[in-house]
Amino acid sequence: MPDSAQNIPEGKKNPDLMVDARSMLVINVGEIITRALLFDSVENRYRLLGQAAVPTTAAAPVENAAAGIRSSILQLQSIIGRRLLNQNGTLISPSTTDGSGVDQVAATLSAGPPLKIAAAGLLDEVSLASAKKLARTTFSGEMETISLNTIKDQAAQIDAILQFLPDLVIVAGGTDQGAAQSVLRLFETVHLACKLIPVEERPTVLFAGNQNLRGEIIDRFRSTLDIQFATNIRPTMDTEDFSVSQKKIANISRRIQLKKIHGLVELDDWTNGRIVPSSSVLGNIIQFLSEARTPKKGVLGIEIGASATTVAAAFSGTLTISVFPELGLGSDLTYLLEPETFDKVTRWLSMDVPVDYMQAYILNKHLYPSSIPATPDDLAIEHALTRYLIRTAILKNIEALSPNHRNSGQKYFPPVEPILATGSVLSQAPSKAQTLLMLLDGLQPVGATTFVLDPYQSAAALGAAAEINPTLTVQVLDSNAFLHMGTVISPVGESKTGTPILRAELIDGDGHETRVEIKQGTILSLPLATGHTAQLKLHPLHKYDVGMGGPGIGGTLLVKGGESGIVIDGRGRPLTLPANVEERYEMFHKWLWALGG
Amino acid sequence: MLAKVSYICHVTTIRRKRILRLPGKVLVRKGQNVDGIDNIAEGNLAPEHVILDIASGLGVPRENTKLNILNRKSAQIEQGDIIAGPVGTPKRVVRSPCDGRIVLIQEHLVILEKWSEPSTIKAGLPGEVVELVENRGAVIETTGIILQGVWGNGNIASGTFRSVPDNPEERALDTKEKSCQDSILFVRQCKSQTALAAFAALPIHGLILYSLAPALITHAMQLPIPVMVLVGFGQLEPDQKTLELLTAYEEKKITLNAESWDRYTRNLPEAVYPVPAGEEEKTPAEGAYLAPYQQVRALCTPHIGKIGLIEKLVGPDTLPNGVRAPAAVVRFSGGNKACLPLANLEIVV
Repeated sequence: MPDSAQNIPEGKKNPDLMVDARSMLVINVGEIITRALLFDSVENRYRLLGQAAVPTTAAAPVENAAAGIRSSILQLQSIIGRRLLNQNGTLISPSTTDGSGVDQVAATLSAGPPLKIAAAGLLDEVSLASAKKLARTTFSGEMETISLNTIKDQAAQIDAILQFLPDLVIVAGGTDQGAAQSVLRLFETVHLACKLIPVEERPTVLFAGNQNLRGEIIDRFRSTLDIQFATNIRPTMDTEDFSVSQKKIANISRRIQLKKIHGLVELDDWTNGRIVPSSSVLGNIIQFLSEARTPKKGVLGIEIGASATTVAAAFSGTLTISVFPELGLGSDLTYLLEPETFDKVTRWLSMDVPVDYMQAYILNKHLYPSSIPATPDDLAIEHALTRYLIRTAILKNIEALSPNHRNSGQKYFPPVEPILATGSVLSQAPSKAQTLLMLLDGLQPVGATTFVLDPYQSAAALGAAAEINPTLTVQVLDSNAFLHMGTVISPVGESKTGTPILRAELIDGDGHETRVEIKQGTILSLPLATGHTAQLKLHPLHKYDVGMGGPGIGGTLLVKGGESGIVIDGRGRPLTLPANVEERYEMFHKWLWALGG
Repeated sequence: MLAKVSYICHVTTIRRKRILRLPGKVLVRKGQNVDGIDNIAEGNLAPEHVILDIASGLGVPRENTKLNILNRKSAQIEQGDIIAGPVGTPKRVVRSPCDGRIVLIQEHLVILEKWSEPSTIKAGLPGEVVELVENRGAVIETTGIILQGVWGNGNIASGTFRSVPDNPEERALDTKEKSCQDSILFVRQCKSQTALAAFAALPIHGLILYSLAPALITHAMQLPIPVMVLVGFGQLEPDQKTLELLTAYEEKKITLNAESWDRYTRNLPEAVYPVPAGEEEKTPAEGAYLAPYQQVRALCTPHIGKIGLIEKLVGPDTLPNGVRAPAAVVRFSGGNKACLPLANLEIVV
């Protein structure tokens, strides 16, 4: 990751110095596949030595994840020719002088269904809204909500909880020093409902409300409930704070999944109790990168997975993460078939595809989530779907950002750099231009940014490794394991299509100059190969904002090349697509052509 | 490359756990033989509660309330029964507003669960109860041929498997006149809501559809009989090899459990035809590596649903849309060959 990895946070220096190189095994217990990855030092730099994949055995008929974990390590052993398990099947750790074994183990977990979370708060728009937002930071499915200003009486609220049978109840409400009795009444409802659930199936309750009530809650409810505490997510009416609760919920999520999935105890032991939910690892890596950057801009990560789309954004080290199980490429997307929503998806199609064919494709993708598009029609559907899912996820994530980082009234994401993108739909696209165009259409970034693609889907492993061995993460991020897609400039302003909005001048290392004028509604790419740098002079017209300090302000940027060179996206924010279908198809082809096809 | 294994005509030992989502009453005993449509357990799966504030009802301080509650937890109560009291000169009492049972006494509160008709859970397959799950249900085991689908409408029934030969929409009424009584019909194509309704109007016990048009999902969900989709959604041409394999079920009494597919529990809709123990075939693992000579099914267009044999594995190949992926050359019945991405294949046995 060329830009960010050069600037290592305090305490995580020096990436080139490896006094104490330690090998690391990362196990990723996924929903369908269990992966084992081995990282070790080669010529004084950490590298990915190999990875192996086997079926996850957490569900029927085996119902024990350990079998898959062991099998993945055995396969990894045979691939890399290094013994990791001894004759008894025990992990060899630390590594030995003959090169066997590993020094450290990290693990991520995404097997098992999404968490069922019930959110309880005093007021719908205040504490309940914050509790729901907190629930979104982990892999959670449908949600039940309880608040004091609902029409449901206490008995109906109890019925709702029993009907839902949550894994976790988040109780929020009351600013610190604020409401007390109403929060206790809310907690009492949750308590009564939980008492009607068999002890071994009772949900964990996370209290993230008025901190003055901790003592009373412990006295009254802890004997019958598993209560966890986090700082108030709504310490005042106008502020939210997820810094503690986000980590707490990731840990609770881990504990719940450990209880539900057999065969993880040994892995938990190998990692010293640090199995990380996969939903958190993208957040880990984005936060890590954010800490390494100047505080002006944020860092954004997006993962398009089969079971969820995850958006993680960090500004000055403060992370906002949202996991959307309803926006996975292989999720149950039946709701998209509703005419109004379906139109929003089909507008991203780059070619004519029959409606019933597209509907069937979306439903079959849910049945066979690991399948890949094999025909031009299928590819067009999948790419249209990806654009829609990214767009929906990013708009929802804007709502989750703290007001400090949100552009008031604007439907675009605040300036971020870099943008890390991961997901097989992105890495498997026939051309990198298609990948970049999907990301640009979905994310619609503003100002200047860089795009980095995770072609081998190793971001999850590095996110898990980041807390244990940051040097490893930095060095592998800086290796060719990640693909620099290019720098993108997206001017923002208002003018008619065809109006000149920006003049740009690219001066490469050899002094060659390329001058272009960008018109509203167009996109273009200036070639600059990966690893090369150049100066980019920007002269915005008509008070367009290129992210250099305000409307109409230009300047010079030191830019790095990539697969798509330097891209100037003058198509406008938000991007407006032609209403006419034929014009739209033509436009998509023009845009793709402009980026290299 | 790992691939999922699906069963279309495989003799194996089948073991299924059938449990209620909330505690209830188990209706079978260990060792008992059950039919697919037998009830295994029953319980109130959507309980409604009533909260009675005894302190305010009796007009006494909260701390004195418990002494006045006459019944204990789990007590069955009828509407009008006295739950607490009498207290004081006016002999104040708190009566139950409904039939039900006391499920919780919490300080000054009594929580009643209203009585309601219990919901049941069926065995889903004929077999022996090999394990009881306390208050929840049982594990049923049998030896049989198993046919797995990809979508179900949640219903269960038993009946005789019969295929509707072809052109079903026109033949539907003919079939009605003939011997479709108590059948579970296998239908190759069902293109319209009218056709689906016509089938549902027959005196049949269930439907197995090769594929289902997305527009018919809602209608299929509302049918009282089980409906299972075998391959996927869309108007898919039935595959000759599949039809050949399904002849094994012809005129056999099967149980169709069209339960919803769940990607996390791996629950699938399935039909089972029991055979005597001892005939089991070697069962592959749930996932297996694709290799030459394996029987596979294509999961995506343009060959979705077709069954063939892997002729050879090839390295990353460029598909017609430009995507590069590891692939296999698959020979379908009739000798047609296609190069398909490994990710779009599942092993079928």
